[in-house]
Formats: sequence, C-alpha cells, structure tokens
Amino acid sequence: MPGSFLTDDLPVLFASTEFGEATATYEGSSVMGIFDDEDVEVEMGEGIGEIIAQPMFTGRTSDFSGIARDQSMTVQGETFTIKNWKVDGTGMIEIYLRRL
Amino acid sequence: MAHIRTQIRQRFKTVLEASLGAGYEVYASRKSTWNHTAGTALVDMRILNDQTQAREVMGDARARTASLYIRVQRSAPEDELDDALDADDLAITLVVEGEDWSDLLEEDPELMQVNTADDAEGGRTIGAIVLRYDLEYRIDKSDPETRIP
Repeated sequence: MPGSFLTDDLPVLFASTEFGEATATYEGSSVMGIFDDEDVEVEMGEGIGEIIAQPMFTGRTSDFSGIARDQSMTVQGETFTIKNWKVDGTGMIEIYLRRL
Repeated sequence: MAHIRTQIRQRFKTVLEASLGAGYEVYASRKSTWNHTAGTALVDMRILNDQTQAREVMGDARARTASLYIRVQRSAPEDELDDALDADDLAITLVVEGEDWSDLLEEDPELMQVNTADDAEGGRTIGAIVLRYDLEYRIDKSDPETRIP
C-alpha cells in the first residue's frame, strides 16, 4: 500500500496548471494526467526501421479502474483507443494509445 | 547503360510506380529508417543471391539467376493489417504478371516466397510484406551491362 502522500500529491502533479492536460477524457469522463507523444524507433526483422510517435497518457490508476483494450480516450482534441497499459503499484498508470 | 541488375530494378520501379498509383512510394533500391507517414505504403527492393547457373563451353555467355526482394511496408489498424498486406501482394503480382519482361529476362519473374513482419510499438501498427521473385538473365561475362538475347 503506497503512502497516502503519494496519491495526495498526484492531483497537484497532474493539474493543468502544472504538467497535466486540461481536457483529457476517458470513456467520456474527465481525467487528470500527463500526455506524451514521443517518437520511438520501430525495428522489424523483415521490415524497414520506422520512426513513429507513441502517444501515452500517465494518470491516476483510480481514474481507470475499468480500463480495457480498445476503450476510447480524447486528449488535446484527438481521439485515441487504448492499446495497453502498465500500473506502477503506487497509484499511477501509463496508458499506451493507438491513433485512429 | 548500367549493370543489368540496375536495369532490372529500375524497370520494376517504373512498372510498379505507374500501376500502383497514389498511396505508394516506390524506390528502386533498399531504404533504411524513415519517418512514418500514415496512408502511404513504402515499396523498396533489392537483389540478393545473384549466381551463375550455366556457363557456355568455350564461350563467355553466362546464365544467371538472382532473387529480387520487393518489400511493401505500411501502417493500418491491427485487424486490417494482414488484409492490407495481402492486397499489396495482389496488386504487385498483377502488375508483374501483366508486364512483358522478355527484353530483360529469360523468363517471367517467378514469385517464390512471401514473408511478413509487424510491430505495434508505436501509435500505429506497422507491417511489411516481402515478395521474393526469382529472376533469370543472360549476359556475356565481360559485359554485365548488356543482356544476351
């Protein structure tokens, strides 16, 4: 069980006045979190290496209790589907998104 | 003139480019890492395993066989990717079968093998299909620029 100070600090960290998104939604409900759209280099054995952005949303695990593949998220006006996610065990979740 | 292999690759590029049309970027040589463009399929090619198969006794004519690898790479939703790659295979097959190669090759190109690859690490799933065609051409060993009919 993480110390309460960890979860207590998350709303501050994820506030839109700090690092968070102002208008992110998950399945139609507003959620707090940080959006990244960093390029990654994809290597395939038979294919050409490609540089492609990997959109990712870092938020509070409690906001995504029913998370499932292919659910919808909207961030910065763009709609994504959920590809997969990682829970860190201290109240945070990293959600990997797929572009439509 | 250029090496017969270059002529073959250039011809494939010309034929594929003319027939595949918009949505495909075709290159006559291999490509390395590039920045993804959604909605565009990248087509590149290379020749491997070029070997002499028959030597003319007391002469310089050589029959050679080589493998041409044509690769198509694109992104698509993961439940549509294999269908899209199969459609790429179909489009290329029809183009190659519809062309008269007799001015360059001994026989029509023969599709010998198809492989695929994919990766879903980025925000879009990327897949590739690789078509291996076996080619046969005939040259004088002292003149690899000129096909011997």
